[in-house]
Amino acid sequence: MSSKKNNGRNIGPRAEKGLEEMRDDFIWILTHQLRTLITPIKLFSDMLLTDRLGSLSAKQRSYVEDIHQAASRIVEVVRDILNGYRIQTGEIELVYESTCLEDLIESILEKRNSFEGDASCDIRLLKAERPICDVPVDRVLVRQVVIVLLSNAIKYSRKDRCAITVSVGLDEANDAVLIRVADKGIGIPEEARRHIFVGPFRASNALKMHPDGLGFDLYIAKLIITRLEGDIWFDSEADKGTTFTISLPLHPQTRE
Amino acid sequence: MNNSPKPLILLVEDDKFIARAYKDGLEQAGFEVAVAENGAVGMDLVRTQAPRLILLDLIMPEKDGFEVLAELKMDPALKRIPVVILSNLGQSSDIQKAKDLGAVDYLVKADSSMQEVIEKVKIHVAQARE
Repeated sequence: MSSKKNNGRNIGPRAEKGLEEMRDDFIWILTHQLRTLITPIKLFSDMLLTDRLGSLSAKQRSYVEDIHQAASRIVEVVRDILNGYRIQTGEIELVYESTCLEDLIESILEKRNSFEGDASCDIRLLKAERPICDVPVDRVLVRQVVIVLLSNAIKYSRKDRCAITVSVGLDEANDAVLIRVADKGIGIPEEARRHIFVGPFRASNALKMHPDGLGFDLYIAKLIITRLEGDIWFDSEADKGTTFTISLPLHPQTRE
Repeated sequence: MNNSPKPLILLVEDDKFIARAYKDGLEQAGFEVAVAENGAVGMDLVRTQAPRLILLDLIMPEKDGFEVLAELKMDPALKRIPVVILSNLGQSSDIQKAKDLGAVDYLVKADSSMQEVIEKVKIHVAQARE
């Protein structure tokens, strides 16, 4: 593994570079360049919106806001690419902390306005009979995945029928814990199912509902869960809803 | 020292669009701004202009930001000038390296609004005066 070489980067070609190192450099140059190209668009639209240069008409303002939002979205994609790559190459180190799963979910739901937007959903946490505690998890990564599942559940539910259930449970047979996020949303169409975790992808009905998503989230969720030695899958029925399940080992092997 | 009533900020940045945005933004916020398009020019301007604070990019031609930072901190006449890194490198190893070399702050350009950059500059200029 050569992925720990960060200092003394050399962008120029070097004959002795291995494939892995070249791929590292490629991702690094790509993300740095994209950020550099997008930064002035963000900054100048930022400055126009402060009204220091004279006030904008409502229409002008809405255009500039769109420019700013579009640029911010590119920044997010770049971050997603970089994060996905770091997870894949093992560059992100896991931090296991003994955790009560319900507490973790509750702390996520406390900040639900960060991913709920202007939708108002009925989100419930179904607690297990006995709290499931002392589970070693990387809280940051598990939180990231649960937020992806929740925000998708909200995004792909009709506003008048947005009801989401989160539940945690033990899977003793597999020495694992399960986190489920169930919605009553539009469902994942049959033909889309095999693509969901494989790479950036968006199902046809998802595109119709929210044309501007990028389809990275579940791909990265899968990368994260795989890194955590777990599994992620879903059951779905068109127009009835989808349930995503995350399974995480109670005794992960790479725990330090 | 610089006698202008407006604090002078040295912006070392090779991308001309980004440099223009920060220059205009900081000037509107009441600062005077000198721009250097690479690390070598940046070192010259530090010596001749005595800025109150340096905003320093990392990846640049001629002399990169890490080299500039190391050189500044080795010079007793210059090492007290606060340096804020303003880069699109965002890895924790880059941030750590910059802080180890003596940067007072580190902002990722693509993730920071103009207002955030201005606020940081204000804070560090005020602290350096104390």
